[in-house]
Amino acid sequence: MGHEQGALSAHDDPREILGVEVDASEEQIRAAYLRKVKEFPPERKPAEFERIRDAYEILRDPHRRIAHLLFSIDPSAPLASLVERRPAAREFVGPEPWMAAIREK
Amino acid sequence: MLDPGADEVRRLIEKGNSKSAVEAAKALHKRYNNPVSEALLVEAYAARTASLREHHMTAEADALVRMVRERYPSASSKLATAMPVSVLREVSLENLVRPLNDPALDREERARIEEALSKRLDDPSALANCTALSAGHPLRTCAADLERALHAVTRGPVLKDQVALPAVSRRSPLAPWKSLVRAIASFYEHDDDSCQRYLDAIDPASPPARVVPALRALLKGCPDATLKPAARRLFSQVGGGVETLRGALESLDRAFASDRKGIIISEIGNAVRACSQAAPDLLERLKQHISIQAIQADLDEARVNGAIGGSCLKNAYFWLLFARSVEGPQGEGSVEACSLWEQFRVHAVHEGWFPAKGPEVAGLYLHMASLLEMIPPEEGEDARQEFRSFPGYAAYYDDQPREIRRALGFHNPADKYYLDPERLYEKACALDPRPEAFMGWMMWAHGDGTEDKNWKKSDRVAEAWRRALPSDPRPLLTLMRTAESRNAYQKALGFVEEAERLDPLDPEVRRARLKLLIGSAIRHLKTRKPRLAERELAVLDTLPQAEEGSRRVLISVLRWACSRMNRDDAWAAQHLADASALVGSEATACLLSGGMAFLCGLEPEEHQLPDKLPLGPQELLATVIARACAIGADVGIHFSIPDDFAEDVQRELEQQGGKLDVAQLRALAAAAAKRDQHELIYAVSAAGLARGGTGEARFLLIRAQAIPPWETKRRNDCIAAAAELARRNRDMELVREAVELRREAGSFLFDMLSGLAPDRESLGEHELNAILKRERAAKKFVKSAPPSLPPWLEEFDEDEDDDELDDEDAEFDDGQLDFFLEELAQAVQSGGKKKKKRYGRNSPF
Repeated sequence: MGHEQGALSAHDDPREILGVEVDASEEQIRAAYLRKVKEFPPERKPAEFERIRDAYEILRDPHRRIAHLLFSIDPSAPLASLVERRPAAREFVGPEPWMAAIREK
Repeated sequence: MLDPGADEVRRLIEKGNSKSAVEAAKALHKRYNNPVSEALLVEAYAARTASLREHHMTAEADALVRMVRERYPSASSKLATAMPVSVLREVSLENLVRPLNDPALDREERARIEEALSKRLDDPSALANCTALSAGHPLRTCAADLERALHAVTRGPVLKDQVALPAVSRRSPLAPWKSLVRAIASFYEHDDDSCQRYLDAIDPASPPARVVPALRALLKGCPDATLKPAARRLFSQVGGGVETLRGALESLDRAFASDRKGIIISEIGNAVRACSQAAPDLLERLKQHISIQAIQADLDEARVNGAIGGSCLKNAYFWLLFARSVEGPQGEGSVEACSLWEQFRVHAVHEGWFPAKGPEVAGLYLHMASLLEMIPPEEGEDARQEFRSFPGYAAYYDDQPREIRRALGFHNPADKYYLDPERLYEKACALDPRPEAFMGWMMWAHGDGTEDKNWKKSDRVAEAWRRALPSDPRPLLTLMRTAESRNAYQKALGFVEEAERLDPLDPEVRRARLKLLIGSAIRHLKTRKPRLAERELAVLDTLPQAEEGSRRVLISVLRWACSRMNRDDAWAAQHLADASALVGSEATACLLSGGMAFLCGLEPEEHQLPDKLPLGPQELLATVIARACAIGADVGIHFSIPDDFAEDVQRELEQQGGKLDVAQLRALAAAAAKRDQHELIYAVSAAGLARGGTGEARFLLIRAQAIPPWETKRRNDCIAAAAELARRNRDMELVREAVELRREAGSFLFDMLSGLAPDRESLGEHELNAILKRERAAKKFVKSAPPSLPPWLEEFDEDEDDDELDDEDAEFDDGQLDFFLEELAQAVQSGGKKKKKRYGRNSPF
């Protein structure tokens, strides 16, 4: 996929921006969009909002959605990329590991 | 009281004679041995250490400080003034902070001690428990608060009050700790922006800053290779098993790259185990990706299934991956890919990814058709025939759950419609009748099959288009063109009239009647019926669109041809003069007239054109030809340039290319492309690129046409750069042309030999600029020889193909009127003179 919209670069994945799965239905895409807009309202986070809006514009249009679906998944990509942007768990581990990192000069 | 010796000691200190001051103070202390004498001695030592430091005798000063501290514990505060912060950081915490108990401590000294404290305190509990400070000292109580807060934020969610820490001010030596506590709290609250702000506020020289890289990496969710071991452990522990999984997947990637099957199988097992623990929701997807990569690596299916704990689900996602994995950039694997896309379609519809009869499925059909189009025509039918006996994918479903197998309920594996581009286009256009889809179908119809049957295919597409989109004039124009090519003039006229009724303002529609009338006039002249041609010209005169551009020039030239055929010299001269005046160039008018003479079958003795091309004093042959080409192309007459002219034109372009505008350069490139005059095309691209500006995308594409096919990388670079620039200029027509050229370039035999460049969808700024810079600088065409073929491929290098191409060039293109200036030059030549003389700059004819 080439340049889709002004705020998105060629390598941005609109599904990732909206946080929806590859098989998300129209309703799921819309719900995810509304959720994200609440999180990043245009008056407070204009740049992020623009990316979210552009991602939604791609996914709401069935022609662009199918084009994206056909070309965005690379089966030969490194398997590690499956967890590339997976958020860390943010587990509570107590003060010791933190203090150990602080004590390490 | 001390005797006057004390005054002497102070005087010596003030004079800077610290060594004598120490000796005098020692003597006094020996005599009195009381706190006052001790204080004076320590004061003298402080001056001495300061003096030693001034003379860069740091080691001696530090040794002296240690000795005095051991001997006289009361000396700490006084000595502090003499020690830089770096030395203070090495002093024990107790000794460092003890002076802070003194409410009368000098402000400057207090600041220095606090600065040293902030740079060395790596555990707030040490300060909280430091007995050198009084129990209620604010630093101790703040440190205790911080210790509690740190424990709280790292053990579970906290309330805002728990991390408020109001007693720790921004100026406090404990401020970095307060920022860290708040950063950690924000991190666990997923308030990443606040977390970043607090991290930014931490003094980089303070111990809490050591945890900042790990915390930033956790925010990004990406490991940082520069993390120290403890920080890396922190990253892994807080990040959970995802980091372990990441490591396992990286190992598996390396194993696949090594192509060592035993290691791959072992690493697959590790990765699947790590995934089931850290990200069970990802497990099925991972198994599907592994299965596809294993198929590509030709691994034993049973062993892979054993390692991943049973075969993966063969649902829509699996087939999507499978189909993508077999798509080759040059059409290899296209037939298999289409069959796999069909599997994907069936499952995706079943799983509710999209409706069975919606635009998504239409888009999929168009993609499948485009894949089949990538197969070289001579191989396409064989590949399809071979695949018709393929038994299908039933074996993949043996161990699949009922829900997956149920998707196949309505699927008819015997219907291999997906191997037929026309059926795919037909189905796509029926599901989602959009002009873009019909245009794709029409392009396929134009490019497929033999010439005499093309019009039937084109008509079939146009009729379907017309039925689906009755207000679109474009199918009518196609029908007009095919009718005209069959000499069904009245029928063609009928289509034009219908198109005009639908959209009289469409430029192509307005041009259509003009083209039709000009084509008809030429046909009458060819059959030596000038009166009928004049009738068409009379109608042309009434068309407002005939006044646009340089169309009047061509009409005058047609009138000249009629007059010549009628042997009316006076009118012929008048029409030629009219054409010259209209175009502002006698040479251009003569070239056009000569071409028309050739086209209409006028013999040299009939047309009586001048022997020499009457170029004006400042006129370039390149400009004259470019204008003639542009005038012809406007009404569907496409010129080519004789090879003998090409050399002169090329030389002019190299020396004076800047004199031609973009439209003229494009016209020249189009004409040169008709005869594969690569050196001339290259010269056009060089002249165009030298102009800079937004036209560079077009000239990069022209450059790509000029580069020999065996220079695959450079040619693909130019195409990719042209497409990228066109995208930025929103010139989607040029993007489409670039994609088409890439597709055509892909079929070249040498791609197989020289290694295929990967498909390029977009270029980065740096790469794009590098290509532009390189191509702008490469002004000269450098001839290169194609790589020699290995013996096993020589049989493909057939001369027959070239002959066929030559034959095709001699015909009218796609039913359009086409003629060659080479023949034109022969036509205007009055006979008996050699080509060299005719075409030379000094003797054009």
